[in-house]
Amino acid sequence: MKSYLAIFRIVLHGKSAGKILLATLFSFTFSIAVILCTFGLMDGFDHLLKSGLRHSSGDLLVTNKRGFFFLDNDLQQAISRANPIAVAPVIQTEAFALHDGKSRGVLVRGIENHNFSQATGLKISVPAETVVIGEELSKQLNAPIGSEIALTLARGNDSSEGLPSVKLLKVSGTIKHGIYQKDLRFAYLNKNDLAELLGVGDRVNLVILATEPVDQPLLSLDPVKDAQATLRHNLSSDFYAKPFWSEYAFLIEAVKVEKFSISLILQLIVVVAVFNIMAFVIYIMEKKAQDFFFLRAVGLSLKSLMNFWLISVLMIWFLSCIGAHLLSLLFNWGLQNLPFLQIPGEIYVLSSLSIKLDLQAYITVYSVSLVWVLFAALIGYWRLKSRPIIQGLRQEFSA
Amino acid sequence: MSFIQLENVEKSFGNTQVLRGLNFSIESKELVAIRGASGSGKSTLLYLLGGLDRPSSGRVMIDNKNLTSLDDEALAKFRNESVGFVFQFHFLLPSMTCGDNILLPSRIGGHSRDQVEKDTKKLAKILGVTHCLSKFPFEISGGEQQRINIIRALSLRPKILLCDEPTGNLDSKNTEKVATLLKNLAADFAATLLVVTHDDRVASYFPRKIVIEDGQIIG
Repeated sequence: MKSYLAIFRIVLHGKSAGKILLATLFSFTFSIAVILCTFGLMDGFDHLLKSGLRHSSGDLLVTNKRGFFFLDNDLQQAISRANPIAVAPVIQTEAFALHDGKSRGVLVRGIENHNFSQATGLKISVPAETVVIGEELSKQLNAPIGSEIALTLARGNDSSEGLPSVKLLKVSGTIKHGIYQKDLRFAYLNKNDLAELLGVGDRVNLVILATEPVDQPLLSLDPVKDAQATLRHNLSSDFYAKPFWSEYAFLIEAVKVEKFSISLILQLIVVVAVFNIMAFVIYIMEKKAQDFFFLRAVGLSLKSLMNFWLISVLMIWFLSCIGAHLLSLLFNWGLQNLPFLQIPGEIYVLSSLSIKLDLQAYITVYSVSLVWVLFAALIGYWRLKSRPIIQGLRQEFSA
Repeated sequence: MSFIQLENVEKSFGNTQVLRGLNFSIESKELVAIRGASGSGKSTLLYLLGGLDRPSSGRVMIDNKNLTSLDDEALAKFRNESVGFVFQFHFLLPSMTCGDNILLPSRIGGHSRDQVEKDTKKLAKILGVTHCLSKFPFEISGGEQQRINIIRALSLRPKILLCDEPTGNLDSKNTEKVATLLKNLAADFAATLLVVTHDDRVASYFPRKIVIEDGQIIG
């Protein structure tokens, strides 16, 4: 350690060496941070999209090609074979919401509070004769909690006949799914209220199932796929069972492909940063060659020299990793708090975006950058090793 | 067996043969001058004795150690613990004070600093460079740099003191001073002294002379 400090002091002597080291450190930190943030954004998008979809669709959606159906014993038995942990019967219909001279097409859902919350993880409670609307819808209709909106529904929706019925309902709450379009389109009523308005009795046209705990992120889609296969096998051919991601499957797949292709491109950024490290190593080698050869003459072994380079580049790597982590946290904070960094939800689907970095992302980014810096260390070591001490001393002394 | 023993030592750089089958021995604490013209191979010989280079063939035995068979780690340890180098160009590191420059071999070898600091103070007093210890090399004269260089070479009490043209940059008055100083210090530290020089006058200060020409010992 003492010899390492002595060498380090020699290497960093002079203003330019310190400045170059700092520049190297910053460029490497920034490069790693860019990759971390890009991965984090993509993973965050994927995570938030899936979580937002589960908040509105549970894990599986069961519908019938004929529209409304009874959730009778036979159907319940068939559904139970997929081992759901929550089942929520839902009435879903399209309507117009009107308030303050503005109107929007909405998807009205009649729900049973407890079952729906369990199946979707959405903390929602709709008192009778009221409506809970999406946050964006509330903003666009200028309908805050306590205001009264009009819902126009087709009378006798099951047969789509007659004039529309208009129902005035008090807004008892707003809800955020995390997906912009859903926050803009969804309105929730008590299931009995909507059944009465539509005149559908005990029938429903949607069953939402949770097969995995909805308050925890899904580590794999396989259990849901398995449950979907079981339902397909057990339900009659009139029924469809769709997983929650089917609505945005193309987007999830696109993010996956993009993540892979961008990660390849981002390697270029790391390579540029590694060039900086190599430039630093070469600069030190050239500038301090006399010192190194003299140190070797008075007893510094190649092994110690290699250790010095290893410790040095590992320090650069370690500090860069910490710096990159801090920068990614700063960027994440900016994403949520700085208006110019917030994404337009109508374009990017999500209401807000945050970066999500799991251990695998950190390991991937840090280990790849580690390989690169070790490569740089080897170059430095190789340059010194390739010249015998005596040759180095003579050349450097005569220079 | 003698303290230093060379057996058929040859050294080539590419197609150029610099040393041709050298055989000689030196006893412990001997004071020896290696004299030869420029390009005769005397410095190369000194570097082989100091473990800075390896012979192309033959054996270099020092203190019962075959330097030829030592690996880099062991050779570095040998250079650090057993050899003190006094170079013509003193090569004091500009980033450190003279005191720190003297401590450098002990830092590289991870030795305790107490004895080194004690010896340094004593030698600095004898050589009249106490005032230089806290100064940087560029703040002191060439003669003072040379004396700091000598203190650094002796800092770990080496068994062999190897000097490569130590008086090369000095006038005749100072040459005599440095030669006498090296002799006295080597005796005080019980070190074997080998001084490489092209100057007959310098060689004359030492009891034994080895004359080398075209890579061969001629006297």
